[in-house]
Amino acid sequence: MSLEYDLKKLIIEELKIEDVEPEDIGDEDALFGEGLGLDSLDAVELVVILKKHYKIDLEDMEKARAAFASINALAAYIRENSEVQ
Amino acid sequence: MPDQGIPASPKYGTRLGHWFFYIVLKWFGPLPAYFMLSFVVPYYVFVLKRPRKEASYYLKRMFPKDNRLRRLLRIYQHIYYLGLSLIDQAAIGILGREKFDIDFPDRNQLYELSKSAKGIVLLTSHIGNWQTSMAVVDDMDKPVNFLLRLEDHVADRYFFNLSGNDKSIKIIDPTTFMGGLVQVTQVLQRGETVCIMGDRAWGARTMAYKFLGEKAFFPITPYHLVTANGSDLVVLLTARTGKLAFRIRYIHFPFEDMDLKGKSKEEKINYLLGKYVAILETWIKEYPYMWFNFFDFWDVNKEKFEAETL
Repeated sequence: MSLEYDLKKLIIEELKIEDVEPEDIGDEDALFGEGLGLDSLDAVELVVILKKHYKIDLEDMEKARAAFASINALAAYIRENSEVQ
Repeated sequence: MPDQGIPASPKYGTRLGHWFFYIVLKWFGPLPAYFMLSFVVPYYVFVLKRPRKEASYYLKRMFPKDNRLRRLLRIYQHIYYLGLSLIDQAAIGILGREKFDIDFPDRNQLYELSKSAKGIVLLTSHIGNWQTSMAVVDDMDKPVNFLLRLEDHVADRYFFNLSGNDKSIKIIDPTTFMGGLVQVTQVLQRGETVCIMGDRAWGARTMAYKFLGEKAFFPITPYHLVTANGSDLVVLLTARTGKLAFRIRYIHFPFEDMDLKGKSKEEKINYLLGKYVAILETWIKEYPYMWFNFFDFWDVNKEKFEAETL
């Protein structure tokens, strides 16, 4: 499985998003607002996912903003910053 | 869960008024500033209509059997205590907490807890003078991060800017990326403390809970942070017990002792919110003139708070 697919699966499971399958989320779809419709409380869980599964700390908020744009952006951030993939 | 707008800027007191009290405090100390309140409070209570209305939202729920005269007297006391509290919070920043008698018997428990690797969600309220409790947390080993918009807290600027030891106090602005929550989660993961007000939403998502007999809306962010991060929850309550004297109460909920197993996200939040509301109600009943939320906390339809920001 690709990192992108794993991320979609993790997001659906950990955020308990109902009636959505990994295949329903496009790699370039916006994660927040329009798109998957996540909000700031979901962002908390996303940070926890990144720490728990990829040992990533999001110290730089500008980089976090860019990483949270889409699955592709998040995967790129993980590839760049994590040794666990 | 309605979204609440960011509260408006303070309405009580002008910039000149704040400056005047600041000068009196700095040059003459708090006692003349308290005395000046005797001239200011009647203006707000008897001349202006709006403060009476804004104080009544809470007082009519707290004291439902009051007649009009009794209500007016209570409004006077309530606004007088607000004035005392505004002076106190600025005075702690300007004069230093050494001038104040702070009764906080559980201080060491909080300090010991802050040494652990786990982050702490520290819940404060607009009761007593929450800035007093903050004056004691700056002794903690790790930084304390406040999720608040400083421009909404005129008197707090004096507190945060002029507090003698503010190196351990950091501000996280809730109007930044993701309401500041990515940053908040990050600091919790570092084992630091995050301080959030439990009784005002500041634009965050809310959940309804029965408070003083009626459904009111409370922010859910603190409880979500606790459950998502496995953090401990600490409630700090303050009360003014006399001139330059305060009492602080500490209630600790270790994460492992929370009964969260098998509960949905909403149920977990509701469970923790219920704990907080029960504590808040008990404290308010003991100190009824010290809860400073001057807006309709129970209004289910209001889209934007127009709160006096304390």
